[in-house]
Amino acid sequence: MADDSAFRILGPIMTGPSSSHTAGAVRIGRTARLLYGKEPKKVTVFFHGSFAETWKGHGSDKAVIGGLLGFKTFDERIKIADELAKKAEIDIQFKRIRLGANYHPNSIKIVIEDPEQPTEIIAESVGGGDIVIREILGFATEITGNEVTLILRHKDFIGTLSKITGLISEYNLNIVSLCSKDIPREDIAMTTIEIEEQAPAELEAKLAKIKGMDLVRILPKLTEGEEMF
Amino acid sequence: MTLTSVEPFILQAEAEGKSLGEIMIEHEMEIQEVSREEIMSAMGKIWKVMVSSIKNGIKIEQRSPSGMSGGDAVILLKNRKSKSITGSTIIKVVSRAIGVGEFNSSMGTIVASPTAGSSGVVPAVVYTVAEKLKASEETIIKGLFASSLIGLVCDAVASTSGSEHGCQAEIGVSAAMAAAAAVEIAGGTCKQAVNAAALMLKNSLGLACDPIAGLVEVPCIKRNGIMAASALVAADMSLAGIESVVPFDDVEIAMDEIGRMMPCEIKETSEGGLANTKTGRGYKNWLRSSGANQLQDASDD
Ligand code: SF4
Repeated sequence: MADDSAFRILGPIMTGPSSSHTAGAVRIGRTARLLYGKEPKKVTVFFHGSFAETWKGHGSDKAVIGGLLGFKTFDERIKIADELAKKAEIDIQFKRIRLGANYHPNSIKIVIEDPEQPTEIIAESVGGGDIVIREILGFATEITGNEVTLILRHKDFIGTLSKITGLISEYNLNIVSLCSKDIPREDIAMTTIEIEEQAPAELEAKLAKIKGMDLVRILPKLTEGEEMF
Repeated sequence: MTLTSVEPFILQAEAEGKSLGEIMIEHEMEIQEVSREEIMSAMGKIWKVMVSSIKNGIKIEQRSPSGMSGGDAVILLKNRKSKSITGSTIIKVVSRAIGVGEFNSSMGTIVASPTAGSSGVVPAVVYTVAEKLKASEETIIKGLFASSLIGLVCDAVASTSGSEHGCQAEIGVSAAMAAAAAVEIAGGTCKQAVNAAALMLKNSLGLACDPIAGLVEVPCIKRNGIMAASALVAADMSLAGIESVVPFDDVEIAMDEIGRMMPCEIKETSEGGLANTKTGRGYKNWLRSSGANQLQDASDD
């Protein structure tokens, strides 16, 4: 949003009480849900640092559950998200974890248990509702959701990256950043690409067809749905 | 572009004979490149959420999970509305601002204005002034736009975050915004609106951010109420013709300087001030241990 817009000061519309411990927690839960791609059935949420101590007063548990149900930060149902999850028979456990000093004091780890498609993230709530995804399935990342983000896990064959970027440019999408890392000795890589505009669904399907690709997700901007115009 | 001074807006308003709210609506149309109707209806959406947060908030009777807040708007309206010392306008504005604060604490949906902790002041003041003066929705929206300039300039020059500049930057700024909105709704000039904001912000300088146990409850909720009352006073003073000796642009620079001088113990860390009193530490210890005790350790598996 423009720096000098009235809606930066009067807004966002959000569920209280805390932008870092409530809104940020909703967004972290929602990101895990989007990465998994459907409604999870069994989830363990680990609270690190200040979340482990103050979650109750900020309703961080309901916030993460709301996010896992796919809610956005202004959804009035966040308040009753725990009951809704119970009704939907989603098993969500909360635990305390010490991730160590390398992690931000407001960090959450989410593990979605599914033998076919295990999903795991560690994310930080850095203030004002902003988050940073630090790890996906053990790969270090730095996803902020300021842009639309493509998350790709694939074999690190020679030429895979150029196939990926080729497809993106076919759709006339502007790449803001690209980061690709492989795990040595496992010949598997995680590539995250930020683009300016929402990508069409066909792009996801086409990317999935690239040889050696085993996970394709397109995360919308973090503030999706909050646009005033 | 960031807005670092109110001066160009005052000059433009005077040259064109327009109010601050009107100038800000035109500014928003320019930067968003959309029609006036779209701008007005977008702010109308914001206003709807503000109204619903007031209506829900003033009905809350339950205490929050921490036990530190909840039900105070109801108590105030019930016990003082008809026999108040200050008058029913003040009682109403205070209870509405407290109500929104309590609604926020109980996971209600609010408008950050500028933050969640300070979300009660602007809605309560605008609602109460509009009710008293029987203002139209159009005038209300103009009031909200008028308030935005104050917040934007404070944000650009100093900050609107308690963790950076203390509560002067959150509830202090929200009260200054509310004072400008009140003047706009009452039909005052741009200069009077900004002057009301200057009077209000001057009297919020140095305000610590020292929330007990890091929760947005104490002092936040009742501070919304008391500062909403002050915002009405600042608006009345300005409309009466009292001028702030120090103009708004200078006050915001002073706020920035003071914010930088403030120790981090009173910038949302809950290590100083009210949070560090015997009472504050008591709540903190109790909450932390009860929060932590309800979670199983991951390593216990
Ligand atoms: S005391 Fe701190 S947390 Fe509370 S409203 Fe003020 S700035 Fe926000």
